[in-house]
Amino acid sequence: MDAWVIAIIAMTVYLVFAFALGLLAGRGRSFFSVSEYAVADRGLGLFVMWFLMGGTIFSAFAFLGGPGWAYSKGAAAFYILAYAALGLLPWYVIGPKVARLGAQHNYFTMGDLLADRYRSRALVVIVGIVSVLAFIQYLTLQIKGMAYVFNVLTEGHIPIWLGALLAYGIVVVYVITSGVRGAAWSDVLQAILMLVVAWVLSVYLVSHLHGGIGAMFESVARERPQDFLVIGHPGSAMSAAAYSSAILVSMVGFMMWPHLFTKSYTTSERRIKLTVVAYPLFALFLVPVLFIGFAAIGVVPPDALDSSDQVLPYLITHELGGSGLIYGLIGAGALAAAMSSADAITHGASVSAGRDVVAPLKPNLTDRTQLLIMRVAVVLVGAAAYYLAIFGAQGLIQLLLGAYGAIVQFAPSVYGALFWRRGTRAGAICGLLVGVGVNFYFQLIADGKPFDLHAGLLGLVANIVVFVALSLLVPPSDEDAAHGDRFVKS
Amino acid sequence: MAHSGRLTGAFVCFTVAITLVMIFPIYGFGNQVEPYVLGMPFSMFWVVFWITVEFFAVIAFFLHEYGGETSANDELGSPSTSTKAPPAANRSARSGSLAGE
Repeated sequence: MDAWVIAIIAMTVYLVFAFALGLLAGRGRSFFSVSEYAVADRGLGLFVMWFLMGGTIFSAFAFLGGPGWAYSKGAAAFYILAYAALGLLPWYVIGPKVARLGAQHNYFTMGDLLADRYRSRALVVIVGIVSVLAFIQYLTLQIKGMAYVFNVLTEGHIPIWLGALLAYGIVVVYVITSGVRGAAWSDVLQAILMLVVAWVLSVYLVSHLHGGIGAMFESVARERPQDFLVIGHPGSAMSAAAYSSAILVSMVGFMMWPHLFTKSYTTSERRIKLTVVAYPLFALFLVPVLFIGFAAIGVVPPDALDSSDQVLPYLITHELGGSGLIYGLIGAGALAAAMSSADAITHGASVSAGRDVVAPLKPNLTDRTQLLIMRVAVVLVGAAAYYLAIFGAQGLIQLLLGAYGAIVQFAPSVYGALFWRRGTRAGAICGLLVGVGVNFYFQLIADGKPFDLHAGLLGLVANIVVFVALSLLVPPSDEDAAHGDRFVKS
Repeated sequence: MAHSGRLTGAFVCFTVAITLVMIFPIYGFGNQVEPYVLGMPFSMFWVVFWITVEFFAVIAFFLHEYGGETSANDELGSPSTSTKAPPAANRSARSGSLAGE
């Protein structure tokens, strides 16, 4: 039997298994409860919670983009380790507060919290729309990852469009039926599978191709210009400002993904803190993933790849001796990485679309209608991301940074809601709009950015200035300030 | 709750510090190829080293806050304890929906 046939069989077995687990997770739960769909009736355990959070970072971006960056940009790839390690830290302080407010006031999304604090429907709708757009960008990344994997490991027998459709179609179905529980339980399976595959692959490739980590980096230093393994030197891939601001934006943005809020409403304060405690481990787990990319230097000729994101699949098909079973296993690991993020994001996007965009515009929806809207949103968001993934073109990490630039603009409103009683509705809305505008201007329209800083950080600075200035210029009424005080003191 | 306030303050300082060592200008001290440590260029070892430090530090924070307490005190550190049932009661009330424990 040809290697690619075995690979397809192995990946199919994995897909069937993931599908069954996702479906079974929702069994015996109420199919028609918004609370169950969105936050699993606030009862997810630590183990599941940790993987749900970890699965989101162990995405196609880490599995394919990580090696891709290490291979093509060297030290710039360390940014991935840094932001993965730092991203969740502030949650130790903020998460419990958010969870407490969520339980008291029955929130499901970040928009619910902002709506309540600033008493503004407009703000929530803006937040909802920006999140759904950012979610779509991030999803596009995952779908592209799944498609690459299928295509390369089946030696082109499964076209890009079909691979993406198969893998993502399964995600869509189990998110619709099982809600957050489906996503959580599949993530446990997927994260474990992905970790095992990544580590085994890394150890094998490093020792097989170079004989050890030290020898590998010595070979990297010989093969590449001398600035390859540092930041901000003339021959480096990233300037010091670009590197630092990318870490900062990703770190602040990490906490602003609305699905993090939704997930936090699923659990208790102690578990939130434990999740944060265990999180730096995920960053350490990523180290071997970068090694895979460094191992490829001097082995994979640069002109053999259309894009550096393909370096991992290329290594597998060219350096692992053509065993179909290994293709299949690795394919399953990579699919797991992409799917575990895709399900969490699809779920988050559907809850945001239903709760934050449609519900405020059309109040008095019944629970059942809201749920129907969320489930329809799964399909619509999925279709949009699928379309972008197959017909749009951008590198994986570029897409991610683009999404972070927009998401990070929620930070002033959210921090303001939790820690600043004088923040006002007008300040929050205008700050957010200015921030998103500045981010998009520097990301898409302007050539070059001041000081080579990340567009999201530039937006964030403008955002904070507007938010604080407006809130101080037009102070809140006594009643509004007292309302804000309740959130600060909670 | 002065104690919990101090703890939060300490955690915020720790977060800022560990962030600063990862970015410039402080990262500049780690930003060099030589010496290789554990086979890694120093620029990579620096990042991995501080992540390891971070990992043990957050464990220390957690143990300081929760270590040696009985489960009834689980939610200590939350100023609004009065509005929350202790976790033990929570658990029995919702045992049906606690997946993964």
